[in-house]
Amino acid sequence: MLFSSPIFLFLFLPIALAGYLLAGRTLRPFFLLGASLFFYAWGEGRYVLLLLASTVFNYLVGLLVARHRQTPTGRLILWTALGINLVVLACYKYAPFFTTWLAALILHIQLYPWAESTPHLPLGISFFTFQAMAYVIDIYREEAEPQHRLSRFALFMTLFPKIVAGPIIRYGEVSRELTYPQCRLDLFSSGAKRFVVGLGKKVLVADVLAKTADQIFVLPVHHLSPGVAWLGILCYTLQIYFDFSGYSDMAIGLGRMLGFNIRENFVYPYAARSLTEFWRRWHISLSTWLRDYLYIPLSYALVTDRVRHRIAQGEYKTNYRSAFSIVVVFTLCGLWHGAGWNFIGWGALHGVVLAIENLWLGKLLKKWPPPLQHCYLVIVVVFAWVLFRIPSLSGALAYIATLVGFSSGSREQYLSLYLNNELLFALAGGAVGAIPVAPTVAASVNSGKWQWLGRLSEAIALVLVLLTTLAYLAGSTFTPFLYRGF
Amino acid sequence: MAIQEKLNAVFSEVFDDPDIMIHPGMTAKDVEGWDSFSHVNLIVAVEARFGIRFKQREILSFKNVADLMRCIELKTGQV
Repeated sequence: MLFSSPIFLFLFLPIALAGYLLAGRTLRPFFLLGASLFFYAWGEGRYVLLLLASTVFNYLVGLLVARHRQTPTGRLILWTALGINLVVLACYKYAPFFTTWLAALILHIQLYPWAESTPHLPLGISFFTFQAMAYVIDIYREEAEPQHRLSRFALFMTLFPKIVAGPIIRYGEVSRELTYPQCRLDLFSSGAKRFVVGLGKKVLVADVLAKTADQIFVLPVHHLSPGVAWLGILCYTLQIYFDFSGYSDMAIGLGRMLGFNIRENFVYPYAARSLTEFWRRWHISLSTWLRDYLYIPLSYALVTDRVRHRIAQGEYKTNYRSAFSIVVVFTLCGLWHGAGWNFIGWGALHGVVLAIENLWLGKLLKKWPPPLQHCYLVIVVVFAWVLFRIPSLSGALAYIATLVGFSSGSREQYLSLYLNNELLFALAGGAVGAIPVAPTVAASVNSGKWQWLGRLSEAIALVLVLLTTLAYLAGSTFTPFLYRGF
Repeated sequence: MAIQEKLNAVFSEVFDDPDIMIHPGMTAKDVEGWDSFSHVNLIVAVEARFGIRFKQREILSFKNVADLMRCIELKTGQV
């Protein structure tokens, strides 16, 4: 049940909201838990049992770890629990990829087709597994107290606005709301507005651009002229942002409507001036997860006593170990996105560029004029998206060769075949929406005597977006969220 | 005061800024280049200079310079 599907918008959401508001303060969390489990079971059927098993397991581990914090027993429990969480994730997400690859590498055999068959990837497994791991680690680190009520912990794990594709919420951020969600009119209205914005981003921009991107990426690369290849990757660049940030807006909006403050996940990432800054603005709930639970522990652990001694002597100016950690963490970040070499390559590329920026390029970049810094960021991100979009490395390299004009082939595909008013409108809307134009305009209007005009314009714009979106949904076909596949 | 002066020297070296003047309320946002990458460098440099070791959870718990100084004071016994 997607947020942009009619069944969600016209049946599930109205019933869930009405029931939730009518349920009363004490019963609300229980009603929401029931609605969230129904939401998950609707699409995933028996895999709701896996979600429940993960919930009960991590609930018990949380209680156990709290009794043995900062002790060898606690550490053993923590590592075992993290291992089990990762093994479950690996079994569903990575097992076919690695068994096929290892068999081909070590035994030089191709596995039978049954071994290559991909098991069903339970919805949101990467997200709820990471959320549970963060919970257990936070308790071990004494940053959070364990939740003693299973029903409340289950709500933390299953809350339907974020179960499909995050944001990966931290327990400490919502622990109070799990008991008494704050149902307030102002919060509800700001949530509803945010939901409409997200719905519009998904349906009016991402889905329109997706059609052209899919048409172009399905073609053999040697048929593409550089112009068409650029159109394809630019459509995809905007599509992935509007798809995922639109989904996040909807999740944050739904959260607010239900009285939960869900953290921001995107802050105009394409307006960044470096890849380091990009990752402070893109999928923030994942990048901060990787920072807190992987990067800092890993880079800290890599500093040996010998290095510490050299630092004390002033002999260790450049920390290559931290740079190495960044590459490792982002390669794993790529793997988190999917079991494929293209995702690993995409992550590793980001890691290497981030490491170079941190070692020396970052200082150099700051001396460049801002427009040049923006160009640098866009070029790095766009080229990396080629790896993300095309599963085979050779295909991705051929596409990049076409982008830079080094391709040979028939080049039967020209730009005019793809450009139409709908696409141009989505591209223009996407380009303007990807940079912070709206908040700048809103801030200038809302501060002066024209505040009423700002509010009126906002209301009219939201109604228009909603009506156009609904008209589009009525006439469009099924388009899943890109990130639900991760 | 001795701790603040010594810590100022570490900040100056890690962030390559000879004029840096730290104060208790200073946060990562106030220092150019204080991100997660340099945070580990800063922590390790502080450990090396003060001859102390932080716990993993402590590394992430510092919200400002005051938190860091308080932890150093506790570990070095200089209150």
